[in-house]
Amino acid sequence: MINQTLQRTIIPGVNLHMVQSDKFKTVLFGIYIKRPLVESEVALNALLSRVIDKATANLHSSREMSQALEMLYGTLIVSDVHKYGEKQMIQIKIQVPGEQHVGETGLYRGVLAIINDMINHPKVEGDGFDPEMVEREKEGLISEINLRKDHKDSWVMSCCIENMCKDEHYHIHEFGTVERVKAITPEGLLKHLRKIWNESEIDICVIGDYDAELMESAIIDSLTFSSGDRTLLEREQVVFFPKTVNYYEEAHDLTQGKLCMGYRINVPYESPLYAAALVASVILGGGGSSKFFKVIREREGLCYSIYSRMEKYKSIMLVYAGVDFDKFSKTESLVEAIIEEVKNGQFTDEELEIAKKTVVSNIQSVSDYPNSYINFYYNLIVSEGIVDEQAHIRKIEGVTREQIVEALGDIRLDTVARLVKEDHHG
Amino acid sequence: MANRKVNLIEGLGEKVYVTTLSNGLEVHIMPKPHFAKKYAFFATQYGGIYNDYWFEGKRYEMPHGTAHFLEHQIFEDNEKSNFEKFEELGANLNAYTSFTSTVYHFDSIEHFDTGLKLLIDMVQKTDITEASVLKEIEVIDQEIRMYMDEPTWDLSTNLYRGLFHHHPIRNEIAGSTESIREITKEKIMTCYDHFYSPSNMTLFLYGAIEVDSTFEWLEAYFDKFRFRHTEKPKLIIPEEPYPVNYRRLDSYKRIGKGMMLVGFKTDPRLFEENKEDKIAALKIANDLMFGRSSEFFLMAYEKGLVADGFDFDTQVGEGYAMSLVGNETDHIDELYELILSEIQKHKDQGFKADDFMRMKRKILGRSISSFNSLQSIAGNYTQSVMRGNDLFKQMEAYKNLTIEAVNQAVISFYDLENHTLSAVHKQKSDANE
Repeated sequence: MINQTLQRTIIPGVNLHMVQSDKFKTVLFGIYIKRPLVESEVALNALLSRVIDKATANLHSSREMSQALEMLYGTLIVSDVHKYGEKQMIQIKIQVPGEQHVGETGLYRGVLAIINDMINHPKVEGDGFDPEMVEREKEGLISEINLRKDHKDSWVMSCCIENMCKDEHYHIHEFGTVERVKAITPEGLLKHLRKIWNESEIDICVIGDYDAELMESAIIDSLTFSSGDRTLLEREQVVFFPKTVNYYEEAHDLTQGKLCMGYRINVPYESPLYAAALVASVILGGGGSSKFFKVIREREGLCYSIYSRMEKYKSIMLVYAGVDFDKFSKTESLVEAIIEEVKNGQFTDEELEIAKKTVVSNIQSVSDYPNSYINFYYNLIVSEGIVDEQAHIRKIEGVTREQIVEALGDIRLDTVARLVKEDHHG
Repeated sequence: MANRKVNLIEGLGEKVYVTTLSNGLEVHIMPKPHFAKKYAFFATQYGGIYNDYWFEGKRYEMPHGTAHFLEHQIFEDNEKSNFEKFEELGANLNAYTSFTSTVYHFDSIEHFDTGLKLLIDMVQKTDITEASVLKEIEVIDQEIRMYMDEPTWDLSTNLYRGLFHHHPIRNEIAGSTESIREITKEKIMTCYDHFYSPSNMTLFLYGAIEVDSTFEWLEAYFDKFRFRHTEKPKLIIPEEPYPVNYRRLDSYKRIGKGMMLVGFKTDPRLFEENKEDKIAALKIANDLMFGRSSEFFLMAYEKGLVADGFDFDTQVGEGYAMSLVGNETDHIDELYELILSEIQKHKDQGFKADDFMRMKRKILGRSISSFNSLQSIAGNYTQSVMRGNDLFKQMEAYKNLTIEAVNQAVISFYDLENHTLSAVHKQKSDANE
């Protein structure tokens, strides 16, 4: 179980969250740097997350870096970018075995020193990062951007989001575009690192079995921050009523059609109806007992994969299915009809109870895994500012049939994206 | 019951209690009192490679994909969806089919015993009909097509076709869009009868569970199921020649970047003795040769030959042993040559003592970390038993490893003349030509 959670402000805008649990044999650190999701910046953030963990002023190559981490009992560092609504987080996660389990002290300080070097003493040449390193990582990132298209299921969802939100920042992918990446210089990237470390809101979460006082002083001693104004980001716009449904189609080399339907739920997470909207999405497409699964897969045999996913920060629901090329329309009509049913209250009490139990048991089980807990915890910090698991569970358990109907009152189909089979004409 | 025979398996501070019920079912319990969730895995020794087998003196040949098809059909229930029954308890139900086993599992925080009874009932009783089989053909057809659209599909199917002449590991676990259409209700019921007897199955429980009382109520609960067979079906694996089938297979696909995978095949009899020690030595050797801290990786990374996904693995199973190395690259041949010369270099020169010591620290830290998540312990332990391995013994094997054993592993395992290269090249789209 989670024994206790302590929160400290290191300097204004930089907060430390210490989550203690004696059942974990590792300590997991998460450093979250909060940035706006804007064209001018996403590629810089994405590239930065790939460059900083490759070398420092003291560890001159990716090989020296890996060797240092192996000496620290196989410590893992994962540095990447994530999209939370119209915010982009640069996340650095570090997993270290608990000092008591390897019988050696100084491990946490050793790791924190590397992290501080990654940010405050990177490998530079003149006024920029090591240019060769930047060039290699630019190539890597560009290739990753190009490879997005090869994963057809996530690609159709991207197509849906990009068309649906073309006038909102949310359409921006967290890797940025090839053109933006190409334009980055080693100097510009280093300047950007200084800027974001000094001007962003930063959260540091630490989860594991450790002495809180010792950990707090290790972090304060090891990581250097500058005091000054840190920019607070605004909440994104989430309510939209599209006038018509937007259809998008792309031809690919495929053996199965890929479908994504994007809905505007129009219930922000601050709304008292949000819990009901979440439960409604589980009744519709959350796993084997959902209506989409029971009707479209089990009764009609139209697909293997079908599910819905909530984008909490934008109040969007995406419905995904892999179907035969001639079954798009049939699947879409069934999805529409099922949503209409639930919207009109046509679902059983049992379906409601099962969906609530599914959500509650997911919340309860996050505390079994350090990484899921840190993600859950940070999500609540971002959206609600506080973490109260029990209050969260009570909200879900209290959802009524009437609230589900009300929560779906403003749902609108916005965009339908299809990946179809390429025509093999000469 | 005082006369129950219980074996204790121990390692890395963990304990597992094992017994065999009177119907032949083996039960493993790993008590983990501090975790909120409990996990149950109900497994049968029947997977994707069991299409040709002997049973009670008769030989059977089944369409490829039958074990996986049967896994789907076990979920059929005339009265109510099995998913719903579990989700009512706040439990998550799922299943998978591997080459050698089919595993049904669920986890829950509350009502674990009720869930366990449901799991046993679901697997030990079936409601398979002609209609359910016909409908499932279409669902599985879509599942196979989903796999076929994944970018690595050609890469791995070609590699296995290249490495093996006859070993059934060449075939897809789910079968093909053609082979699943040969599956009938009769064939499924035959396989169900042969492979789903308690004596061919194992039940695994993990979490805050009381050992003795659980063994006893399981003994009583299984009493209501008909005792089917005591004999286990015997898998037929045709004689597999030592040399690979093809040295190289190339294919072309519309992808953003090329891909390659080199497979090194060796004689599985090499692992007949001290299997765990040899596997440990080989895994450390692979990491020293190809890991992120290796000279090879630095060079390949600086030349732009490898990306983040670069990976390597060694697999040893019934009738096969192989190592796989590779990933996305636009410089297939250059990377291929570099991999071969790297192995040759270590065969000739061996490894350095300080690199070896550093790797031992890494392995120690990682094995501690792997005991963090009960979900992964449960998954790994189940899989290792079903493959005939001992997870604890495997993890302990790293402790006593010497650099000589690691050097020897490279020399005896890697035959540079006996490998397959599977390459998937980037095909330009018509518009760009």
